[in-house]
Parts: sequence; C-alpha cells; structure tokens
Amino acid sequence: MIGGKIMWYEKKGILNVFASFLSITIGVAVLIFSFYMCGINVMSAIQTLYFGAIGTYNSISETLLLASILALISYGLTISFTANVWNIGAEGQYMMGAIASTVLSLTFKNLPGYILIPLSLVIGILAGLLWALLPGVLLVKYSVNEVLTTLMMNYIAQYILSWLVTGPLQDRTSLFPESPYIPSQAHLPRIIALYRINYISLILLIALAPLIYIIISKTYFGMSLRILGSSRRVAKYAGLNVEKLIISSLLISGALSGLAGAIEILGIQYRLRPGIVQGYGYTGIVITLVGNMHPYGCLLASIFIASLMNGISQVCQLYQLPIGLTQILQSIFLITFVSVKFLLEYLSTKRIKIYGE
Amino acid sequence: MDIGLLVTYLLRDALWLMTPLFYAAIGEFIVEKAGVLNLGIEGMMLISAFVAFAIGFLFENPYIALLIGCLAGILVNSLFYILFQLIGVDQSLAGLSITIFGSGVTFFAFRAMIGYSTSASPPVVKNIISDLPLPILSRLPILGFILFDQNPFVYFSFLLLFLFYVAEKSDIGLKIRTIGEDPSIADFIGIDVYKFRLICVIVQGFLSGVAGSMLTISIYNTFLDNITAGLGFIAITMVILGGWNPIRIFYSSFLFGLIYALQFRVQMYGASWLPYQFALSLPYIVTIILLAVFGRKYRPPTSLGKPYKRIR
Amino acid sequence: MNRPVLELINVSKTYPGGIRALDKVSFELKEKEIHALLGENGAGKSTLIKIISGDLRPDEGKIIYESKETSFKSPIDALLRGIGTVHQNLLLIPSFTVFENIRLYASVLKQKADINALTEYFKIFNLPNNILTRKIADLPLSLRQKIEVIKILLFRPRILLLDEPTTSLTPLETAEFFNILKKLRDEGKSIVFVTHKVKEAMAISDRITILRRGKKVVTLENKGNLNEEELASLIVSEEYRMRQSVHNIDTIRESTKSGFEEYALLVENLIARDDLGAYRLKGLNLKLKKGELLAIVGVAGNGQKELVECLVGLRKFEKGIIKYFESEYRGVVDFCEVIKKHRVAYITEDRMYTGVAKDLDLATNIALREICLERENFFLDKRRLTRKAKEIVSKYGIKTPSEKALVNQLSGGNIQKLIIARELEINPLLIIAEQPTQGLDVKTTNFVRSLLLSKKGKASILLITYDLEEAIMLADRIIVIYDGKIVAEHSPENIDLRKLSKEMLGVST
Repeated sequence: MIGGKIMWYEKKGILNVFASFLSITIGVAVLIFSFYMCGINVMSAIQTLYFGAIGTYNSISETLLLASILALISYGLTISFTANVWNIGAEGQYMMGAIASTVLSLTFKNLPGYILIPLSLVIGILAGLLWALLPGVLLVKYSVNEVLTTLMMNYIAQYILSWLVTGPLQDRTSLFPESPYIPSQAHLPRIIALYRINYISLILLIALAPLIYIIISKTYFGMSLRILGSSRRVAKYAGLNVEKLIISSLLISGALSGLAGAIEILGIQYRLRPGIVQGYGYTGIVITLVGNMHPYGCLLASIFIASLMNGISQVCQLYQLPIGLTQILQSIFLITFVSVKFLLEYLSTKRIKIYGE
Repeated sequence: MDIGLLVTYLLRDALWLMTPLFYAAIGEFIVEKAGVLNLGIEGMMLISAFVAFAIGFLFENPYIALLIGCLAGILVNSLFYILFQLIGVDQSLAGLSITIFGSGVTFFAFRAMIGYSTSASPPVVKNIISDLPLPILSRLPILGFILFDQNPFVYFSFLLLFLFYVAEKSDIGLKIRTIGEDPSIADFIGIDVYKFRLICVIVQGFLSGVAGSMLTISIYNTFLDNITAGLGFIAITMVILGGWNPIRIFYSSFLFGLIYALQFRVQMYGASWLPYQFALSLPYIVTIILLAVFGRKYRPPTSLGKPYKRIR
Repeated sequence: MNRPVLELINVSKTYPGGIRALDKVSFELKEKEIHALLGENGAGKSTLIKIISGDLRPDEGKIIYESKETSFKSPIDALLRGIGTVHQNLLLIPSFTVFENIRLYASVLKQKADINALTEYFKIFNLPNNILTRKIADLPLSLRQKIEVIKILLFRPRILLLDEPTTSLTPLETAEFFNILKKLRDEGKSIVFVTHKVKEAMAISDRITILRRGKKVVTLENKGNLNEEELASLIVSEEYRMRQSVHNIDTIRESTKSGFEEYALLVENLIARDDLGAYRLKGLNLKLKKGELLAIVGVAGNGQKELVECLVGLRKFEKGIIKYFESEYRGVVDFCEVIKKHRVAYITEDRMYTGVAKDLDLATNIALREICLERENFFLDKRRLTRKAKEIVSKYGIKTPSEKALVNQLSGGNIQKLIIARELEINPLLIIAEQPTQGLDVKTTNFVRSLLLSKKGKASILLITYDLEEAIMLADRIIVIYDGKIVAEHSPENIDLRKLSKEMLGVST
C-alpha cells in the first residue's frame, strides 16, 4: 500500500541515519524549549530528565524494561513494514497478548513457574498472532485495506479488555476494574531482586535485533519480503507466493506484539488493567519508522525513547507539568523525521542521473 | 416503549449522529477523487474537536468555536498537503503521521488546559449548538419530527449532499476526476494538479473541521481523549463502501448513524444481559464485515494513493 | 504551389545528462501536405514532435508558424493555436466515456466541441453514434486511436501531428487510416506522420524527412520515384549491417532446422477470463516443439497478454491444460515449480513495473529467479550474488555505476538487458519472450535477436510480438492469434502478408 521509499539494505543509509538523528535532535530541542516556556529551570529539568532516564540503577532498569516492550513491537513491525504491509494493529495485538497470558496464568495458577512462564508467554504470542490473522485474510482474499482492519481490531480489543476487567475477570476484592494478581511463580525472574528488569526482557531486547537483521537481509524469506515490499507485481512475477508472505509478515508482527503484551503482564503489571493500554502500539510505529525499519535502528530508538519517556514522566511529576509531553514529543519526532527524510531523498534524487543513455 | 415511537426516534437520531461521519466522509471523498488518500482525518478531527472545545469553553460562543475549529482543520490539512505533495512523503505515511500527531497534541493540550483551569467541576462548553426546529415543516407528523426538527448541521448535510452531487457533474468535477484517474495526463493537458489538490485539501480541512468541532460543541459538550474514536477511519470506509459516489456515501453514513442511534438507545434503556462494550464495539465490527463483503464492489480512482510530482 | 505553414530553423535540443537529441535540425511543413518523419528509435523524431506540439522548448533555433517567429508555451497552447498531436500513448482516460473525454478537452480548451463535426467524423471513421456513451476501457485499441484523432480534429487544428499511429493497426486498418489522412489533407490540413516503417512513409507521404541520430539527413519529394533500400540506408548506416546480420540469421536458421520431436509446451483448449470478467481465451491450442522458435503474431488485445499470464502463473484459467514438458497444470500454473523443474525463462513486456524491483539493487534483481531455483536453501549467499551480478554486467554490457546501484538509475535499454540476462543465465530449456525488442535501439535490438537465435535448438522459444518483421526474421513457425484462439499457421519462408492481415483481423479467407 505504501511505496516509494528506500530501504536500509541499499547501503545508502547515510541519508536516512542523518534524518533520524536530525529529527531526534529537533524533537529534544523542542522539549527543552518547552521546559523553558513552562518557566522551570532548564538545567535542573535536564538533570531530572537524566536521572529519570538512566541516572540511577532503578531508572536504568525501568528504561531497559520499557525498551524491551517497545522493541518487541517494533521488531515485529519492521518485518511487516518491510513487506509493505501496514500493521497498525500492534496496539490490539499487544492487548490480546496481555489478556491471554493473564487468563492462562490465572487459570493454571498451581503450575510451577518453569512451566507456567513459558506457557503464558506462548499463549501471548498465539493471541497476538491470531488477532492479526483476520486482517491478513481479509487483505489477501478480499483486498481489504489492512490499515483500516487492523485499526478496527484495536478498538474491538480495547472493548474486550474493558469488558473483561469489569466483568468476568474482575477481582472481587478490588474496587477498581482490574483482574486479580497473577500467581507469583508467573512473575518473570528479575536479574536483581530490587529492580524490575527481568532476564527474558533483556535477552529479547538484545538478541532479537541481530536475529531479525539476519532474517531480513540474509535469507530468501527476507529477500522475498523485500521484493514484495518493493512491488507486489514484481513479487508475483518472481513466482513468490504473495499471499503466504503477506500473512506470514502479519502473523510474525502480531506474535511479537502479543509477546510484548504478555511481558507487560508477567513482568510489570502482574494483573490486567485498562492502564496497560499506553499507546505502545503507536509508539512502536514511530520507533520503527525513525529507526529506518532496521532492527539495530529500532533497538537504539527503543532504548532512547524509553529513556526519554521515563525521564519526562519524572520531570512532569516533579514540576507538576501536564502529562502527555511524551506523546506530543513522539508525534514531533515522527513528523520531523518523515519530512526530513523525504526532503533529503528528493534533493538527492535530483542529482542522480540516469546512467547509460 | 412503543415500537413506532422508537423507530421514529431512531431515525431522527440516526440523521443527527451521522453528521460528523458524513461531513468527514464527503471531505475524504473529494480528495480521493483527486487521487489523494488521507489517513490523517482522524488527527484532523481530533485537533478541530479540541480547538473548538477550547474556544467554546473559554469564550462561551459556539459559533466562533466552530469557525476556529474549521480553521484548525484547514491548517492541519495544509500540513498534510505540504508533507505529501510538496515534500513527497508517501501519502499513507503522511496521513498516519498526522493522526499520531493529532492524538499526541490533543492528549497534551487538553491536560495542559484543564491543568490551568481553576474550576473544580469537569470542563464543559456552556453553550452548544442545539436543535433548530424549522417553523412550519417541523409540525408535520412523523416526517416533520425526523427531518425538520433537527440540528442545523443535519440541514446542512442535505445541502452538502446536493452541492457535491452537482459539483461532481460539473467541469471542475471532471477535472478533479481526471487528476484522480491519471495525474500525468491531467498535467499534460494543462490542469494544474497542485492547485486543484490544494483546493480539495482545503475543502476537506474545512469539512473535517466542522465534523470534529461538532463533536465537542454540539453533540457532546466536552472533550475526551480520542473523542473521535476512529470516526476518521470509518469515514474512509464510508467512501469505499459508497463507491466514491455522494449519494451512496450518504446511505452508508446513514446506516452507521443508525448503529450509533441504536447504541445510544441501548445505553439508555439498558439491556443488562448485553455488556455495553458490545454495543460500543458494534461500529468497528460492522466496518470490518462490510469491508470484507462489499469492499471490492466499486473501483477506486486509478491513481489513488500514488505519489505524483510535476515533471515539467 | 503550397506555402509553408510551419518552419523549424536550426533547432537543437539537449536533454539533461548530455544527450543531444536534435542537432540544428531544420524542418518545413507546407499547406495541404502529408509529410513523413522517418527514422529509427532514438533518431530524434519524438523530440521534434514534442517541440512542434509545444511539449518542449528548443535550446537553439527558431520556430516560424503562420509567418511569425513564435514559441509554444504548452501542448494546450499549441492546440489552441491550431497544432494538434496524437501521441503514441493516447491521452484518453480509460474509465471515462468517449463523451467525457471530449468534454474534458472542451473544458480545458475553454471551447465548445463542435457536435455537428462530431457526427461527421463518426461517419468518416466508420463509428456508431452510440459510441459516445461507451467507456474507453471497453473499446479495442484501434477504436481508441480513432477516438483520439477525432477528439483532436474537433478543435479544428491546421496541423495534425501523428506519432507512430499504426503500431496497433493491421495492414488493412492502416490502409483505411491512410485514406482518411488523404481526405484530411485534401481539405487543407497539414499532417506530420512519424514512423520508422519505410513502406508506410512511401505509401502515404508527399514528402519524407529522414532523421538520423538527431540530425536531419535529407528531405525528399515522394513522387513514386523512391527506392526502399536507399531510404533504409539513409535512415541507419547500420541498416546494411543489420541486413547482413539478417543474412547471418538466415544461415543460423538453416542449420538448426533439424528434426523437432516432442513438445516443450502444450496448450489445450485454454479458456480464461480477464480482470473484468470477459472471456479472453476461448479455447486456445498451441504446441511448441522442442528446439523451435514459435512466434505468435496478432493485433494487441486478442488475448496475448492473458495467454502469457496463464502460462506464467499470473492468471487462473477456467478450462484447459497447460503442459510444460511432462508437468501438466489445470486451473493455474505454479510457475515457481515450472522454473525449478524445467528451467523456464520469462522475458516480460512490462520491464519497468513487472520485470524489475526498481528500488532494489541489481544484485537482488538478478537473484529474483534464484528464489525459485534455490528453494531448498534458507540462507542467501550475498557474496556469490554480487559476483554473479558483476559477471552479468560485463557479459551483457549493461551500463551501470556499480552492481550495488539501484535499478531505477538504469536506462530502459539497460533494464531490458538486465532482465534478459537474468532470464537467460539460468540456462533455460524454454524461453517465453514477450515483445523483447520493443522500444530498443537498433544495436540492442540486434543483440537481443541474435541472442534468441543462438539459444534456439538448445532451448525452445515462444515469441510473442506485434512486429511482423521480427517474427518472419526469427521464427521457424508463425501462428496467428485472434479473439482468444489460434486461427492460422504459417511458415516464414513464403508468407502471404495480405492473408496474414486478414487472419489477424478475423476476416474469413
């Protein structure tokens, strides 16, 4: 559906990397400017930002934890966007992953941890995967625009979540719409007991990046995705099974978003609440684009944005600023990035001549 | 409640509740006819809704709020135009960026605004644009109630339908359609693609501005996060299901108006066995089903979504 | 004596990138004449037309129109002032009706279309009046061309420029068209007729101007005194060499004519529909013998496209069998399997949008076929691919900054070379070639044709072409496709062109 972009594996990535850095710089500059406009001491605000982001052991833990969730979603989106399949439904797939893992761990609360944890994670993966299946089938069989369908699935997931926590799954002992706590053996094992960062998050955050990179650039599957992303017609001409590719890319993306949701429950929230919905699905889109749809770029961008998010929430708490600064910042990143990147592309293609005639 | 009365109320509510959707859909219809796919309507509507709310709350005049809301819509859509036509950002990417931008900006701005407000109660727009029964016509039995005892936006929606039906058959309509079918041919024969697309974008900005503003200063009287709830995307669906034809778009929007009306009544009279979330998710479920069944029925404009830059 | 109505004096045009398309060309058009502009692809004919029609402005030189030095701001400006152009790519919107297309022009030109003239022209061109409400997309190419000409004529141009108008007409339709042109000339119009076909220029024109490599070679009066061979040699000095290579080609053909047994490709009773649901293949049968080159000729739009799509798995077919060697397929061909099992190559007609992935690099594009061949392997060897790309670039003479370059930086001819190289490098046993030399310059055309001929014998070749000369030159057998069926078969040796045209048109002989 969306085309006309140049991808990272063409070794012309210098322009794109420049665009990423430029947009991030502009965004941060806007942030600092807004501190100034709010009349707070800019230097101490930056200090608070730093401490909230990576200044203390706790904040490092929190940042890595948040980054792992965002990175999972964005790795999945990288696969899907490479094939030009616009999965806007990461938010809903994430929710379904969270729901599934909660239901499973609550149902089998007597299983030991070494069975319960993998089982819950897997069910989260499956839930996210299945939630992406319907839009995939509709796209492939009826040519229905996947942006619309995946988005609708987000809203439906949201209402399913809302119904569950105010109905069947609601904790009878609590006044709030939330599920009971998951059993303690389902909690993801922490690296250091004091801090929330857990082994699985950290491993996934770091190990998946090279894995996805290898898949996209060094396998036939990845090459098929790239060809599909370049042009569906050419993919058909090359004999590729376009339907299978489209659905696989959506399923992989859904699976990773579902996994992210499961980790949110098992590693951070420990219960199902409406508050788990924080727009990570959309943040993931921003990260994937600003990271130039490259797994390493996504890794860096996830860590960066996660640290920014934590830092900003610290600043907002301390200085009584309205929350939402992160959201507006993300939007600025995105708009600046697309403008800069395409502007640079346009300027550079003007100088590229047709070679050979 | 007696069935006849219920149906009457439903029809009347449907015509009323479909207005934001219809205005947004007609706006999208124009730009799609010119070959532009705007996924940013949602962001545009959100920003207009918030701006109208803010002005309405601060100045207590809904008409000025509406005006400024429309202006906001035009401004946001101009940003979209700069992104996709002047800079060359892919249309869908530009649209999504605008939508994400819209939700981010309004999320923040709303909190910033009520953060600074001194009142303890939730912010409400004091004067909203409410019903305007037409003098004699509204006394007609049944039809009078449904058609002529309505919000002024409903009256204007009929006017809008008429205007666009006529415009489509006009010379300007033909030129815009040419751009949507093949912009390079249009450019070659001297139709200024940039100019016409800009006009369509401005008109869409205005209409989406009305659609968004309507939410906070007429249908409801306050702003909520994501008050548009996917309306912008459902509007795009209306254009697809309506096959790029104003009358069919009106019918599709009316169908959804009925769904919203049903939702409203279900919430009022409550069916305790049915969780309210089901009613709320109905529009989205119906959208998916309709797209699956009727999505391929009509052909879109040939160059829809494809980038075009002037070569000459 | 007729006065000149248009004069170009020492006009030059250089494209960005340094290509000198026109070099001090002078051209004169008189009243009441049909003036042929003759030359091969790349001689500068299209550029000259673009300058006259207002699409381009010359870098040097003067344009004198109606006795005044002038310049044209745009094609519409030129049309308003009396110069109408019918391009090869028709400026018709397919989803609009005939009426809407005419109305569009009227609106853009801010003039009313002459309805009386419209009915008159419909008569002259032999079109039914109800064609006004039909969509262009539903009309065959020959009708569309007529509509385009009529559309321009409605705005009463003094000068009519026609760019290769006969490419999709059969010889009979061409003769019909020429009669109409003569009538228009006699009514007072001046017509510039661009072509690369010498015979046509000789048949229709009053004068012929020959362009070669951007320069005007000569302008000749055509009073029945001209010699085809001479003209051909004026057009391209390499024409002789081409003729020589034609003789070489003849000798190659002789030697490979040895017995063909068994079939490489068998198509039985193929029935298929197009995207809009209309039946396009209505029981097509063909047999491609092993080692032979079989050419399918026909007017565009008679099912060639759908046939090829069915053969390569891009289209489902309702009935019939497609058999590659021993593999039989019903319903749809699994082309990836065919490529893998039988090494089949497919040179596509649409090089820009189907044959290559424009925003990917050369190495990936060359590896496009690898996907089907190396299906068992999971990982791809980047180094081997880059090495292979380098080999291909040098072997086939593809001009590119580097193998890592993106395909959209290559010119059309080089992209075609790339596609052909990629397809032939798999050492195919069967080649399906769709319009392989369309739009290429003479050198590349000869290169491609001799390449195909050299593969004959080892591979079986199915050639789909609109170029009768090419078919006659290369094929062992020629079959004619009309309305979704194969209607005739010929041997290229002693072919009756009149009979062939009738068959292409579906006229029963």
